[in-house]
Amino acid sequence: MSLSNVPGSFRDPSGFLYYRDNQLYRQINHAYSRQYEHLIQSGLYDELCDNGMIVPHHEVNLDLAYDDQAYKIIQPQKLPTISYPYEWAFSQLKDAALLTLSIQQAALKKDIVLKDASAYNVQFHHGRPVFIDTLSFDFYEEGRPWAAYRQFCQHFLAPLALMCRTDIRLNQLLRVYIDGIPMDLASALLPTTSKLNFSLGMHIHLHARTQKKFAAQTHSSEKVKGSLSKKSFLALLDNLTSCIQKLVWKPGGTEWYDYYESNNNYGEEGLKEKEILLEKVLRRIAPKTVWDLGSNTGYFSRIAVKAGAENVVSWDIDPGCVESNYRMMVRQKETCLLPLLLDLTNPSPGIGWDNDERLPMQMRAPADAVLALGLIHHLAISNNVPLSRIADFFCKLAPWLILEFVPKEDSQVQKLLATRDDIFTTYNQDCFEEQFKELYTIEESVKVQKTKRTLYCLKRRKK
Amino acid sequence: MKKNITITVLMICFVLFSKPAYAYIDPGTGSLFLQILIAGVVGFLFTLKTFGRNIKSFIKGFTLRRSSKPSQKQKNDDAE
Repeated sequence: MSLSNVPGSFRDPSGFLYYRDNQLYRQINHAYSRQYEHLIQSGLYDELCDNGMIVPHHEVNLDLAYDDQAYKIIQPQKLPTISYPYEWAFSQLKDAALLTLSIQQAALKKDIVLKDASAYNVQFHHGRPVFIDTLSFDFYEEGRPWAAYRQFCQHFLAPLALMCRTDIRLNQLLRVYIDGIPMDLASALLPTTSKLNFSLGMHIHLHARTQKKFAAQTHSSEKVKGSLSKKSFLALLDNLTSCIQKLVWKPGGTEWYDYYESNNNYGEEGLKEKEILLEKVLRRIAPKTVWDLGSNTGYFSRIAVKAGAENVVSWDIDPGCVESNYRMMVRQKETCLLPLLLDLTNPSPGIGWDNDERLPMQMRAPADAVLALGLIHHLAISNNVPLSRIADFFCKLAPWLILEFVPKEDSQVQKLLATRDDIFTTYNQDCFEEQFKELYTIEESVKVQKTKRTLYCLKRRKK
Repeated sequence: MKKNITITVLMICFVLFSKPAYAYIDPGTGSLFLQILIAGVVGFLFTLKTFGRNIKSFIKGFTLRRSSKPSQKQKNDDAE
């Protein structure tokens, strides 16, 4: 019998997540029993479940408890991929924000309030945002202000406003500030014109100033009770909702956004050929979970879905590409895809307390297969990563690797070498095979017609 | 000395008389006051918005009921 805490689940005295024999459970402590029963009996849980807004769970035997504080044990539906707000495109964070507000609006009708409004309470499942913190609900007391308002502004409103009005890359600040972007920093970074917007002016700029003003004083929400009626609370939520709905970011102008249109070095036939080869290989291996690294707008991720994969994570470095991928996914109502932002040369590290609260990218693995198409030259040439180190890295992620080797003669590599000395004496197909054979067996290799590239199907060697 | 005693007494009072809150996160004092201010400002507009929405749905329902009445009259005429 193995029992271990989920490292990131410790702040809330109501309960926590843990693993028992590799199964994920949530313990509901006695102290939270009344709130939990109210959540169920009020019908709020069923309502949110029916609308796909909250992760469903079922109650299990108390024998599976972590300790004697347990009132009940629930088993939430397991999500195939965990992701974090600094890995989301603009619209993903926006949809997560709107979900949080909708849940609070629905909860208020049943006199329930959200205790917190952290972006980490939301995950993506079947292409849509879903709330995962079943213990976030508390009794609403008329008149009491919303304790989670500050957190909502820092986790959602500030990064969205910054991405939209200052620079799309500023969501990366969420990696540095684990409890959301501080209001004074957001206020300093936003353009002055944002002060003319009533909602941003109030929720961010004035918020930063009132925080500073009251910094030395402490009042609990208990003390300011009686000041925010239910109607006012709804008005506040409504204002936050329209403020966020009006924040729009159009992808375009980022580095890789229009890659396929302006850089189609395959020509249509080459692309089609690659598609057919890839689908064939994928159908043979039949992976259920696929990580497509450097996926651009997810063109080949969708081939993986077509070939039968149920969970395809489409990672790319370009925020415009991830945004386009997500928008297409929502438009086409796709359920097997998850577009995420990732710089492979600096992937998401472990952050938070003991660098353990939010998992590094590698620990979200393993997948069944990794796709590394049109990628290796960016790592080896643009970033000087030795081929053996690349093999090592991919090895940690999945047992199968489908990789497209892009030789120096390829036009894309020629572009990369145009402005620098060619120090890459060992970057060629023979060296590539030699290096990768240390860790993989080459199951198959096929030249992609009309191109200079070769598609490899590699299987990780058993240790 | 006097200042220390005052602070200690205030802290004891705070601990003794404040109800245990389930807000395990720090709500931020400034944030608590600010949302009351904002809600006060947007509250009136929100009331108008909700009122407008209710009027709209009332009119919609009313016109639907009106448009279904002639067909009822038609049915009665046919039956006769």
